[in-house]
Amino acid sequence: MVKDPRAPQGAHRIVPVNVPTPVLVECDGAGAPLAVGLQADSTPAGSRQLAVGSPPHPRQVAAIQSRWRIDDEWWRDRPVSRLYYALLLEDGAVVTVFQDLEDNTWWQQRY
Amino acid sequence: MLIACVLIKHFSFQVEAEAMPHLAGREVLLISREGKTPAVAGTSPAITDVPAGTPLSEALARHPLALQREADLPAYRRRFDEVLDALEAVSPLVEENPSLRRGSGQALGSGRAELGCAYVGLDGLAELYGGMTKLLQALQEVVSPRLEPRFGIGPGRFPATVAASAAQPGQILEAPPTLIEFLAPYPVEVLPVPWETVARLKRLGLTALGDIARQKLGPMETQFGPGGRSLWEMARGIDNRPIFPRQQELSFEGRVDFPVATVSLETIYLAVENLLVQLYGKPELWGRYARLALLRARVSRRPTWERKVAFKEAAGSAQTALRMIKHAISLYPPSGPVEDLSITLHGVTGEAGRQTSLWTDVRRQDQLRETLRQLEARLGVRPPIYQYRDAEPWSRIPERRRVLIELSL
Repeated sequence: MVKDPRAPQGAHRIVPVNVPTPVLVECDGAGAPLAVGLQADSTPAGSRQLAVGSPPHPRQVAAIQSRWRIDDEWWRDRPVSRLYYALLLEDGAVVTVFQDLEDNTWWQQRY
Repeated sequence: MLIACVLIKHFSFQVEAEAMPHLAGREVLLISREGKTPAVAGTSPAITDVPAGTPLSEALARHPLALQREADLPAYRRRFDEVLDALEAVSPLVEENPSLRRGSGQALGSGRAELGCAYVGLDGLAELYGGMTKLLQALQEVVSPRLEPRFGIGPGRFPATVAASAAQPGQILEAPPTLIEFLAPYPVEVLPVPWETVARLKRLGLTALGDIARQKLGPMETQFGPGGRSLWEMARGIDNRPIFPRQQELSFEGRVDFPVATVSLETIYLAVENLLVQLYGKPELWGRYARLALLRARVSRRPTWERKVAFKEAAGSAQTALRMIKHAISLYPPSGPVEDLSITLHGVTGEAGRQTSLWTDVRRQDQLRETLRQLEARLGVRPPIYQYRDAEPWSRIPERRRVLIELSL
């Protein structure tokens, strides 16, 4: 028997990959990152809230390898304006973080 | 023949006000730009002297301070279909009135049926519902009160319509048995006839329905030909036009929500492909062909984008349909960031018309489908399996580059 053809089907999801996760960053007077507090367990993907839980262990920045800015989607309610940093940490790890220039929050994201 | 008329005055505005309650009480003009010049597609109840179809310039001359909004005609149509669907849950005899009175501020522009009025056949249903009161209550309950529906009950369409137009929002008004007296004070403008006929009636001094009802049938037929009888009968509450229920068409719909409104055609194509695979994967569509696809997208701060794609040859697979839909979208892309997208396949036919190739990936698809079923049986829920796809690989925003799409076979 054919089901009610006008019954709406449920929406199917498209999930973005590599959404940024919040990160705590300590900055110097010029706004450049000095230390990064990486969460062991990040908040759910897509969340725009800072992670709440045990305070992350701050890791000192040994060097800023690169810095670049992207401005996009300026026509939307929430434009994208980010300042990315590729950071070499004291333990040799390299992480990419960005400062959201719209609300001055910090996020970690693979670029 | 007992008929209920469900009347939603200023339907297009009521749909807007459902989403934006702050519009209530304001002067609002809903503007359609489908024609050569912008025209009014609907108004709020605060504006009573601007019939649908009035050029925007003329409407603004009368109401210079009115708030202007782009009319979202597909959204109004969709909402009215929902109302009709809900009414069909009460009675199988539901018909949309295609010729609501002009000047009611709810016509949707030339070439489109006016929305906001439906007829419901009530004969024989009272016993099923445990009495007429409960039947009418059921009717009232299925239409959202936020749309301010009015219900009129009468022994025909016309008396039911007049009763509905006289009812207050949410109220049910039943035409009394003394129909001639009930209808007599109403002006001839309530008759569902062209304005030329109304003007002619007035020239003859027939300004109210009571004036017509007092005439003899012969003179009315002499003056107005066959239509004279119809006028005379309606003025006396006689309307034997039956209700023609909506035709049930087999159609299949799928919808996808974008996590972030997208302007990328590549992402839209991906969503289309995903939806088509889902739809053609339905057992009800196996071995069948679709002749038409209706695409609808909610666009940020813009009216709904809609595109009909008629397949020159009925499409029996997602890939065939995708090719034609992609072409149509490329010619007429959405006008802004797309928030969601739905595809409805219409004109579904069982005729194959051509032999499909044996050497396709059907077997692989079957195996995957079987694996998914086994997983579902084992886990007790639908397994969350996604496909990893490029969406906007060139994007400077990393999270826009790739997406996971729910796998459906």
